[in-house]
Amino acid sequence: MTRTGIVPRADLPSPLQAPLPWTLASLVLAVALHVNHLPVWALGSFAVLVTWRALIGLRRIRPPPRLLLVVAAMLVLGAVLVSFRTINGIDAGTAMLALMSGLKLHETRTTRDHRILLMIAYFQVLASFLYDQQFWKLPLAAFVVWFITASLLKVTGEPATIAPRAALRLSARVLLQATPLMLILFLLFPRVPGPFWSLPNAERAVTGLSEEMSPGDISELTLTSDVAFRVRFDGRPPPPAARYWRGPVLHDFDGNTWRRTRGVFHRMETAELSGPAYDYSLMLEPNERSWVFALDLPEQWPSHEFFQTYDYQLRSVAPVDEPVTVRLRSRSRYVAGANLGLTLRQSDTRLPSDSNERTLELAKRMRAAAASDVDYIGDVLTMFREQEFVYTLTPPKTDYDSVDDFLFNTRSGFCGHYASAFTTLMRAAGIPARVVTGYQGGELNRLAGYYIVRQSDAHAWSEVWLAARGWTRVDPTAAVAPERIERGRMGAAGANEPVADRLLRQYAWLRDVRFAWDAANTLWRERVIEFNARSQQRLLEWLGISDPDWRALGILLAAGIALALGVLGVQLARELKFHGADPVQRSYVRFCRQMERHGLKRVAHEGALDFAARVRNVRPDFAPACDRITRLYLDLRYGNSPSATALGELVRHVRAFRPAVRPA
Amino acid sequence: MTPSSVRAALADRARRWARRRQGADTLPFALDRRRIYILPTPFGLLFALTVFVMLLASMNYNNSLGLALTFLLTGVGLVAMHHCHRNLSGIVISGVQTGEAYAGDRLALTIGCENPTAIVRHDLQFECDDEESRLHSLEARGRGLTTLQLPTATRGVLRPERLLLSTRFPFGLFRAWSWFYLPVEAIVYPRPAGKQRPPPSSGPDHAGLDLKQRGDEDFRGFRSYHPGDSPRHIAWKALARGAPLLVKEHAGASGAPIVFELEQVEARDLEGRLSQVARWIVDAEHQARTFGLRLPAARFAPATGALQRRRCLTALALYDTDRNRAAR
Repeated sequence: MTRTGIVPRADLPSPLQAPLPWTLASLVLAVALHVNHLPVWALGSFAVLVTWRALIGLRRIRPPPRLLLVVAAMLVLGAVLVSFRTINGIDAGTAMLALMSGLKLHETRTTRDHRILLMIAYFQVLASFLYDQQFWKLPLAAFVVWFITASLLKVTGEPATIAPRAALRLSARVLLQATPLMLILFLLFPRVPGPFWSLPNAERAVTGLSEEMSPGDISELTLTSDVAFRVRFDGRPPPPAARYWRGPVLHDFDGNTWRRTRGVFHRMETAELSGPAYDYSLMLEPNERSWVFALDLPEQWPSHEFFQTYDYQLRSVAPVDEPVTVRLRSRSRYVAGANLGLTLRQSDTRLPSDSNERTLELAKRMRAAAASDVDYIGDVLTMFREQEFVYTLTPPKTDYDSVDDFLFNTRSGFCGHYASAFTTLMRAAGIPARVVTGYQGGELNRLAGYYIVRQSDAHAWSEVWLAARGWTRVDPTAAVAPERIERGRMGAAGANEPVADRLLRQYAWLRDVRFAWDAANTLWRERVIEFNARSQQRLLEWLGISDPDWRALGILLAAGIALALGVLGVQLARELKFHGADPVQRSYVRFCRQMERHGLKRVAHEGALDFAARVRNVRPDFAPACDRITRLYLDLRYGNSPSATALGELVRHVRAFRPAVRPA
Repeated sequence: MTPSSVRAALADRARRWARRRQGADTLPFALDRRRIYILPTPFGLLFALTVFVMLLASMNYNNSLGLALTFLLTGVGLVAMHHCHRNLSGIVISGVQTGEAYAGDRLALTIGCENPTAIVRHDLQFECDDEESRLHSLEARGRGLTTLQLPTATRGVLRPERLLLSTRFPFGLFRAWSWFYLPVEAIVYPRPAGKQRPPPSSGPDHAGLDLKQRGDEDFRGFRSYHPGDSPRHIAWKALARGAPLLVKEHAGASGAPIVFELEQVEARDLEGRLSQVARWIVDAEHQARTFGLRLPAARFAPATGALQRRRCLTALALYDTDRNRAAR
């Protein structure tokens, strides 16, 4: 901008007068809700546009020429396309909306322009809910909506129409009055399960398990205390040692990294479950994949939304990109895949021949020394337990031949290392084996009675196939660090190892605060975020409507809204009326009652002045106060322009006038 | 038919329907529920559209908080409708006064209203035809005056009929309005025009003398003030000294009365003649002369002052109009 500079007042089309600051602040607040997911360049550009507009008004500098705005709009479009490769979807749309509204601020003149910007601000609030619907977001969003609504009030009419404070007060009132209607609509408006059309969802950077595992991977997860899922058991929970939450099963090994097999379809194998049944609700946080972490092994699940893979992982038909609650039943004892298919036996015994050669040798030697597969497994676990293997959250880096390096060199590692090494040793001895990733354990929220499983509970273990027993879980980490399984990660980690929220875990009261917060969030999630057609059905049944249908819902909705509006109408009409006598009259009547106590009753036909004259005659000692009160009263009642303080003075004098009753 | 003409026709029809329904009003009257109408504004429709799009978006993503926001804004719309309607409810139209105007000028129509209720009213807009004026706020137990400047085209009686009071408060989502029909008649005087010199005064002494040189010189003395005396003749200096309200009298004012007649004007058309006589009357009053008017149907004896001018100009304004004929 070469043409900026101080210019005369008259040249400026739109100084920073009401309502512009309102619109501007509304937009800033609405975009601020997106501050943690808008790209930095978009936030920066928005900040520049807004600041510039504010400066134009404050410093009275020249507004940008139209051409510049057009060019800037093209740049914004280009930048969004480059950054998101689309202008469709929530991420691109939010950035686009923010920047275009920033530009629009520079040519906002009419009331219509302001209103359109405020509609965009409302929309930004909605868009921010598509990213997350956390409990803490509610007060923030409520404040922003309040401010936008007040701005809508301010841009209507002229600045003189309503004062800022009155605008804020009135919009708060309107929002409060709208709340019952909101609740009725929320509970009774027919919920149609979406999506009607597919739009790209908001992209979230989600921490969690991935489809592959290199030795160091899981130890990174242990640092994040993000919740992976929560579990509420109907009855007794399984013992800690049985709390294995099954995730992706990894079959392919290249000497360093384990991966899921892609594009191969194996026969679904049988699984016979026995032992106590655990019924529970699994409340999944979004993981952007279709994984459902069921307790090993799931027996029942809602079959139209979830399915089981050949390696017993439970998956969702649609990606889990929103909080989902699943009802499941699992049993801890099972015989799975008793008849192992040939292809699966082949794929789960395959090892790269050119890597980890020392491990292969060790396996052959140990298997030869053992009497059976089961003995061999026992020998390997004994080796982990009795030789100098260390369980640590900060293992040294391993070479490409990670298993060799781990077994013969570093000997310190994490669940991933142990699972990887154990599975390799099994396969090398011809035993079908695979790595299972998932979570282990969980923390009981004792205030609310459910378990919280965090990313820091991520775990990896092995499954070996034994004749007659089928797939059997073997957790080599348990051999090295049994307390990991019994007491969670904190129990196993050394004092100086990095563990998520170490501080939080040290103080019981801090943990309770955290549990309470989590419980509130969970309640919020169960009651509000996941409120759906089914909850609606349950609500109607609770209200005593058996077999509710759409018509019942419609009638109830209409009745509810009519009732709420009726109450509102009565309330608004009542506000029109003055309550009680008017304050001037009330004060004077009070004064007259005082006089009556002294035997001076004002008769019906007696005017205020006549009464004052009589008082002066009978009780000269009352005269000064009486005259003052009478003068104020007459002034307020009949004067042309009573002063603003007159009423206050009258009230004060009447209150102060309390002569003691003389004994007769 | 263009959309705007359709709208105008519809509005006209609705107004006539309301007229039949409400009947004529007598001052003062309160705006009650029966006579307040309300419709969404174009912005209200845009707001509804926005809310609808928000509903679709929330349902598409099964987003509960999104739905909550959508429903909250729906609620805001419904509540705003009540507030908008209430903003007019109970207002009392207490009086109407019209000013003076010559044809072609603006006629001031002053409307007085009262708010006998306990809440403040905002953004009240009075309209008459295409003219409007606004009261930004009306306090509880407050009174307000607002003036509409109505355009006039021809002399005669002006009946401001399409009076209405409307409001878009609080959010501009709805417009509530109330039509009212006041028994108001304003007289629009003929426009003073013409360059013809006035006829000679009837008094023998001053025949032929230029009007402009007269009047002020022949100061005759003071008399006490009567309502209708021109403020120009009030002895302001004497008043400032503490004397009672006095009016200066000039020899010219009472000495040589002129009686104007339409026949004295040489113009051919009636309006031209009326305008010329109006010019003479205005000038005569301005110069504090004594003047009268003789029309076929009416006769005003010579007198001075604003009242006399008004009387005469009103007679000219109504000359040969429907009302005048009806009165005869």
